[in-house]
Amino acid sequence: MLEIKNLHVSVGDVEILKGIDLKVEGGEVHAVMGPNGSGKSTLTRVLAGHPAYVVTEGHVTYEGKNLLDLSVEDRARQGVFLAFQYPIDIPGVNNAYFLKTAVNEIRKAKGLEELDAMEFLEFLKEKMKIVEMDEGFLNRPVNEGFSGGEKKRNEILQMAVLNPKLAILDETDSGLDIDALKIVSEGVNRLRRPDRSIILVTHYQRMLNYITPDFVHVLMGGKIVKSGGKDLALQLEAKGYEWMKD
Amino acid sequence: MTELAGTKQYLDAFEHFRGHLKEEPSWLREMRVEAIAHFAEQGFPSTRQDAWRYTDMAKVRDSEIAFDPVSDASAYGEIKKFKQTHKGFFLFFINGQYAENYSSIPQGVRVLGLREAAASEEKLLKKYFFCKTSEIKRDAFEALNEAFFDRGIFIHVSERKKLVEQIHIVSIAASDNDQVFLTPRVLALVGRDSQATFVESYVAGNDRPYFTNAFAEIFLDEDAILEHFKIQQEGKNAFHVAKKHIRQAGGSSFASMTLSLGARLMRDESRVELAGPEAQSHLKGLYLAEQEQLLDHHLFMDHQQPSCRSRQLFKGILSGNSRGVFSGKILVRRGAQQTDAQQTNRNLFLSDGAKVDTQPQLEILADDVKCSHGAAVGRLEEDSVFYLKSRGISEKKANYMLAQGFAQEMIRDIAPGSFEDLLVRFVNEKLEKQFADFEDPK
Repeated sequence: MLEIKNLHVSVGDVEILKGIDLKVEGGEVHAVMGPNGSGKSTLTRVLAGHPAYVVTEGHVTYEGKNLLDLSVEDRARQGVFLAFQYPIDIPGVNNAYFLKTAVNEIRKAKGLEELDAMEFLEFLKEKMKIVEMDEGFLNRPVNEGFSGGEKKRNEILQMAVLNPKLAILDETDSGLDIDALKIVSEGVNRLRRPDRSIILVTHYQRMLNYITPDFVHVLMGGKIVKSGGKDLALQLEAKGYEWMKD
Repeated sequence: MTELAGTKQYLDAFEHFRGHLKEEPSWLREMRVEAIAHFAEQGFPSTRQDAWRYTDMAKVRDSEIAFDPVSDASAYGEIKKFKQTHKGFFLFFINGQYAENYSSIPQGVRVLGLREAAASEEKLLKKYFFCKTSEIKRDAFEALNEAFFDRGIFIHVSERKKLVEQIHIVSIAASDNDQVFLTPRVLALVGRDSQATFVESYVAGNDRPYFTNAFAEIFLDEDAILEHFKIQQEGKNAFHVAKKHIRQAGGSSFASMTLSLGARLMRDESRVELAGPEAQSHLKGLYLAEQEQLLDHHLFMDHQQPSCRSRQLFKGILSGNSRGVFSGKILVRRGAQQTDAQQTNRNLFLSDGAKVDTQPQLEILADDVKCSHGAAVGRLEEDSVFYLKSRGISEKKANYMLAQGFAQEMIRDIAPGSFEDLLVRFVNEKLEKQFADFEDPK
């Protein structure tokens, strides 16, 4: 469903991704691991379409289409979802209104009828159970004053609500204590489906204790230097990234 | 003798007007004569003057004025509409003149016509209002209001009266001729230890051009609490000049929200004197300008006494070729120790053609004070827009939601539910207009 071929990406004059190849089939969970500054976050943002990143070479095919041709919002409408490493505060916009707008924009794009306030609330409350969020969240401005854990839970709630085919999680484990990590990971597990692919980007192995990946890739210096099964993550945890450099 | 530019029509009109003032107490008539002489001498302000450098009043100066409004039935429609959408008590001005028949007054509050009050309450009025010092000089607009106001009002909230309901002071422009000159004037004395809410609204019954030149003086006696809203929704071809002079005695508290939406050119000035210790003043404002609109706010916070606290928070959203002006001055006088003053002005541009001039001015003559100011101008953050778009929300809608959030932060939780809903609606309606020609920057 997703195929990345020889992807080169720059920000300004600096080349960050230097030829990425990655193939993800429906329902697979791929972990992308790597040290800080290796280009992990860049990869996630390019897939979501962040305007600061320029693709200088290569292709990304998503469900047979050229993903890079699609606008940010069209990617989302066609099922690509990015859980942000640092979710953005949106002062003055309450969470429920934000989520309802997003759901309805996507429904509209799919030719479905928009949900009214009552229908949406019912739907949302069901989804909130997945990440154990209480209703107090709904009337708070998006991410404003949220703790680190609350922000990440809110990202996974958005994933649950938007129902993507490809979910890209950018360091969703960072800044979480053990309890929050457990809630968030279990939330992701509940959202695993045979027709939903997940790319899980992380620095540490700890989230993979909860979410078992089908494949693990190591990203270093803008390239995938090694791929393997879930055991590769354990090796990295034991030895660090240094041994791979050679 | 040749008159200064634009003054002749006003001087001529005053000659005519003064013939109708025989009923007025002489002190008031003398004050008007002094005011018009002052106006004749200084004329309209020009952009060479510091206080007017960003706002060119030439269009106002050069407009041919009609001094006799021809009443238009739309005023009554507006009164009806207003009463349906608002709760509380109502003091209506039609074309700048107080319309007693349509007004309602709560218990514990006196409302007198200014002419009547000038006769029966001379001492009170002179004690609290019409204050002129060497420092506070009338400018052209204040002088014109003083010369021409007709059927202004004096509002007196009794000592210890706690008023929950809002008192709406509504100026309705509804004239069947173009370019009428409206001079509503309000004096308000908020008694010791009393509490009240004033909502000052400006609306228009039609789209004709006119010129509102409003003036208000408000005195808060010791420990009085006044909440004040100003909702400016003048007609799109109107000029709106409004000046408010607030004086606060010790322990009093003033909180205001100015929502500026209408008029083609607006100048709004607030001067607050913290004239007693431990007084508090919180001024908030939100202005939304579109197309060729110019919305100018000038604030002057005058800390005269120790241990007072003031806040100024003004935000603007500008689209098209509109312009905003914000000038906020904080003066901390020598004796005003332990002053705590803050000022913030933030502006959001929705287009490349919009422009804002923001000018903080701090003058601090005391040494034990806490003062800060900050200003920001710019487009929406790229990362915020990206965040919303990554959830499937379109570029335009994402920008709209962020602008809405920026605005609504200002009006949430400051008023009773139904009134807050109304403010939200006004803001959303204006935002819709600002986004009507929003272009995708892609």
